[in-house]
Amino acid sequence: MTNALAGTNVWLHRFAVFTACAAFCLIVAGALVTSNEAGLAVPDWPLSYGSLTPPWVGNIRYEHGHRMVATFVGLLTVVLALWLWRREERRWVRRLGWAALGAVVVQGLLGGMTVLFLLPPAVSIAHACLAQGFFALVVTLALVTGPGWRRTVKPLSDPGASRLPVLAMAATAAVFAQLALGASLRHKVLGIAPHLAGAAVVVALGIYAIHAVFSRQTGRLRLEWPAGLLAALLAAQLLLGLASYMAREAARGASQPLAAVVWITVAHVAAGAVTLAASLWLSWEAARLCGLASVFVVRDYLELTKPSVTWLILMSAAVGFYVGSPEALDFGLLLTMFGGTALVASGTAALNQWMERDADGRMRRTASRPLPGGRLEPRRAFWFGLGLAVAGIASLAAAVNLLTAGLAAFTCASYLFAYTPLKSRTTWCTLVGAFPGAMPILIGWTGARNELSLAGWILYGLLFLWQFPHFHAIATLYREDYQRAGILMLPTVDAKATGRQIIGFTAALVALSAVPSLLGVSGNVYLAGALALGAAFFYFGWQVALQGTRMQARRLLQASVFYLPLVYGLLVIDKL
Amino acid sequence: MNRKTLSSIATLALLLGAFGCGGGSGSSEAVKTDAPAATAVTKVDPATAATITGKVAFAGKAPARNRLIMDAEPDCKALHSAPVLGEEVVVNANGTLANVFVYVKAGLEGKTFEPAQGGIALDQKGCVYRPHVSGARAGQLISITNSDPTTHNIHPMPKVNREWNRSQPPRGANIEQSFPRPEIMIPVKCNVHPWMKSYIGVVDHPFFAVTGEQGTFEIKGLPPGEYTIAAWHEKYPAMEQKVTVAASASQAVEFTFKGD
Repeated sequence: MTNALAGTNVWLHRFAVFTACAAFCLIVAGALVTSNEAGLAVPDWPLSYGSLTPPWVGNIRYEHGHRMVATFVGLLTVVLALWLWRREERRWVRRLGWAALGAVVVQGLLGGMTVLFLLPPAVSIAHACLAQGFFALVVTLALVTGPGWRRTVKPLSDPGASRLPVLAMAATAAVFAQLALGASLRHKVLGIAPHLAGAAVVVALGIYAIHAVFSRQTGRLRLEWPAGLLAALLAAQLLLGLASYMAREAARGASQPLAAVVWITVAHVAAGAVTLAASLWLSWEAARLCGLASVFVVRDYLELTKPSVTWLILMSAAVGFYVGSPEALDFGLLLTMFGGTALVASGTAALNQWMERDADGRMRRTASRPLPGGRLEPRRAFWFGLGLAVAGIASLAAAVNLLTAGLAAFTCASYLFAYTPLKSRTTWCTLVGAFPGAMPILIGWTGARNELSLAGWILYGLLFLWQFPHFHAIATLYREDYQRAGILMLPTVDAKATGRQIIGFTAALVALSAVPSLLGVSGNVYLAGALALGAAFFYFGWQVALQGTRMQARRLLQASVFYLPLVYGLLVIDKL
Repeated sequence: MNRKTLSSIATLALLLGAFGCGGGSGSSEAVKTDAPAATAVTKVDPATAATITGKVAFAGKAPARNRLIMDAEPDCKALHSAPVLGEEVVVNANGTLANVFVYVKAGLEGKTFEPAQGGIALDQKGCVYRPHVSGARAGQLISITNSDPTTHNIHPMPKVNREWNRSQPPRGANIEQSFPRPEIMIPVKCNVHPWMKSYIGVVDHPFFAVTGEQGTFEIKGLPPGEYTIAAWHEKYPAMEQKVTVAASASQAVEFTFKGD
């Protein structure tokens, strides 16, 4: 007993609990600022009215009070992170301490941005979400530094236990997403429908997890507390949500925020934070008692969606959306476009891996993916991918527009049915793959405009042409690997033709990159930058064409990786 | 690894882009406002100048006015002996509607007029804005006074002009600002006292008016011609009418806003 508790530092744990309670108070203080419309009552930052003690009147009390609590929580977090660094022997817990410190610093900067940029909704929502993320971190620290956590527990090994952690974590993720949707509703970016749909998902997942705990015959003691708390909070949140909606409706046309609306809404936000803490608590306990095997399955599913590629696709779509936006950026539409596109991209990635599971197994680079690695059943991967893709296309059609949904469906289908099968048959697969590969930017464009005009096609053309030097460089670099898998890439069969294509497509790319300025879509800053970057990119392509060593291929790959975001960045900056 | 680098660079480029644009739109403002000064000023001949007069009627039952709750700020509350009412809808005793901004919306295209003589005033008195609705020429100085014993912040929320937010201590120096571009309407808010709201209509000509306690308006010195006259109210949908005015004539126009 004493041995098991040897590593526990009671005061450190108490301090972590205190920090978590202070973070909760900070969330309440922040919610009060939003509800009282006090966010801009202090126009300057980091000081308030040029001092640490501004006039203590009206809404300044909420805004400056929030800043004071935030400073206090920031100091607590500094102490907590340092304390953990000196006294905590588990490396991952020390790292969580640093993560909490990083989060609170970024959170402070986001808070400053809300003031200095006059409450842009995107920053306000990010501030609201990071608040909950930071809270989740310190709640975790409070849990894992506790004496209960260090006590040895008898692991549960029955079949029913293995799914508990993943259920609890899914519920936690849903609660967090729901808090983000709530923040988007509060800052008028999204309507109430997504938040209601989110409520249904949270309740369904929550009940599923709670039921899984209470239907157990044995070993449920440590799980009952968080599960019971979660059940109570879900019920309370439904009531508070309904109450805040009704109060808001009743107060329609009021001249100022009314106390009743303020307090009900703040209670809803605060209880949301506690709901997150409860489901997190349940997740940690379940993970500890039942092991993380089921969580690794989640990681495998996540890997199946190729998050880094999906992220790149979203960035391309964001550029298309931004350049295509007629005037002010419609942030809500951007978010819905993002959601739908991410679903389609994830689903396509999963289906692609399902189709290529045998070829992937033969390449060193991909042999450890979930399907060739034997960690996921192919059948499940198929339905998972199909479900994501269909849900994505349906949500694009319902919430963005039919043209965008059609383009997304075309991208998914052409990638899977044209590019993927051709990969092992002909080197022309790169050309075929470039068509769906460049589509994300056009999806962003049509998401904003619901039409396809010349400028949209130029953006598409840039991404289309860029892929040739980029993918030829990769295939040159991994030539042997591709040969082993029987994938026919041009560099694996014909180095000369590869060189010719790199030069030709890069030259076309540089020429096309000048067109937006000629058409008046962008200005001279873009033109000069794009041509300079293009010249440099072309130089690296030329080197590969001349010699074709791995070294030069690597340089070209790096150049391509810099070229595209920089050209897009210039286009975004110099949009006319 | 390469994908990770690429995605982080893409994110960075996008963030840079977003900030770059934020700065860019501010700087282009100055360039565009210089343009009108270069064109010739239209002289209105006083001999033929026409007038549009009229009133804004209100039909239906006048909604009850909110009572402003100043409990959060004793300094404000102490300034009033009687309850202070919100000004979202102010129906006058004679059945007309106050705080309607009436202006020439179309018919003056390509014409430039003499710049305004002097500025307009916006006062914070008794923790309410005086006036609740006002009009200004594009570029005309707006002089903002704090007559209260408390701190205010002035936060106009325009869409086409640049947004700003400044504080003003009790009886502090006047804040003088102008909006270079026409915009109907710019809401102005005090975030310290969230019941305080005001609206400023900015137009690039001198032909506008705001209805008061009589619900009437008068737009004088108008060149004869065909115009679209618009009436804006903060709660009800805007209205407009086509009006033709002959030389030296006085033309009557009436708008009727309908309550719920």
